Amino acid sequence: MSGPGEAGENEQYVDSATAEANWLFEQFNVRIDHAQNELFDKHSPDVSDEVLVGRLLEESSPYASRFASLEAISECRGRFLSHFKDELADPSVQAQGEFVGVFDCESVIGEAIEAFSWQDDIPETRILECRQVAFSMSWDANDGHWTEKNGHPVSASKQQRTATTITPKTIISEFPFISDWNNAPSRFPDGIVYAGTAFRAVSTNHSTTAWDIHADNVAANHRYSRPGKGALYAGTSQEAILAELNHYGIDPTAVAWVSKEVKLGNVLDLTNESIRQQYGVSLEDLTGDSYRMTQAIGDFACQRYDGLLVPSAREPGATIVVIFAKGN
Amino acid sequence: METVILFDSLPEWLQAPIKQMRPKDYATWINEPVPALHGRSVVTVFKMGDTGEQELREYITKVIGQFFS
Repeated sequence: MSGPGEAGENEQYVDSATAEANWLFEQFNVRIDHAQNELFDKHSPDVSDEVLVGRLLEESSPYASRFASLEAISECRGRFLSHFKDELADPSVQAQGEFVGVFDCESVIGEAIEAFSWQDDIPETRILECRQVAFSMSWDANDGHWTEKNGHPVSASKQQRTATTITPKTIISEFPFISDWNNAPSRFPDGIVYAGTAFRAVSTNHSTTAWDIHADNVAANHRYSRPGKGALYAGTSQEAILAELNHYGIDPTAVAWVSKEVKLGNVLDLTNESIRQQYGVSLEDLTGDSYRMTQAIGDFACQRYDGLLVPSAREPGATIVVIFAKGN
Repeated sequence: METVILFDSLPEWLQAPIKQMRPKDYATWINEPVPALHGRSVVTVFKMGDTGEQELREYITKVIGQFFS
């Protein structure tokens, strides 16, 4: 039997994994609905829904099997309702307004945790195997039914195994079809407030509009903003911008140097190594020649953050601040 | 014998931004290595034909998008 601390960790963990799973599942369902319509338009209507969905799952993501575990969680709730059906139907229990039941649920939650946690990039040790689950129910006297408040594992084995976790990098790179990141689970790192001087270099006849995101900017293929998504790139030092100019072969004396005090309330700080680790990305992912990962991060981050602090790809130790266009 | 490409023989979409980027030495600079072109010069990439033109267009689009508009 585990202590309260371990159970608490597991509670948080199950909540986190379940929230992530549910959110991904919602995104996946949107994709499935869309793709199903596309497939039905193209192919024989004789193909069953199950076959179509199965194909989509197989083709769309190596994590498809994880979604099956959502059913395990539902099954767990179903077992709870079945196990305590007499108590829940008892008017004297209903009159109390709340009911907390604990029951053995060794396999299904354990499977769910495992399915959503045991792959990917970052090794870590976690207590993973739950033995019991408690559901807390509230009685709604007006509507005459029980509402689930939460479901938590209340005890866990002390078995520790080296596990790895799904990282934002994994989600972003493996679920490229996700377009709505606004309600993504809280596993994504919190933003920080950034205030400081930002430097840019622009053509001499555009120095007064240097901080506008214009059509040419939106059209260009930048590291954290693919064509169609505008963003301003500024250095937190002049050296950072000088390195950019040298990279592109631009004469530093042929441009107007401008600076501005900027304050952004919610910035994803990818210069912070611990944030990169939470994210599952390396310095090389951010500064290499490929924009695949950085643009995927940009697609996601522009919906959740005001901007990014990123390591300069040109000048080791220098920092670039990326300011997203509003409405991206 | 290697073909010599003069600045004036480059297309206008390439000439105009290069003049902005290198107003003092654009005519000679086109033969110098550029890190963003993987150490090749504008002329070297231009000589690659369609592939080179595509690469130069992306390079110029990026330069204009970030610095010159």
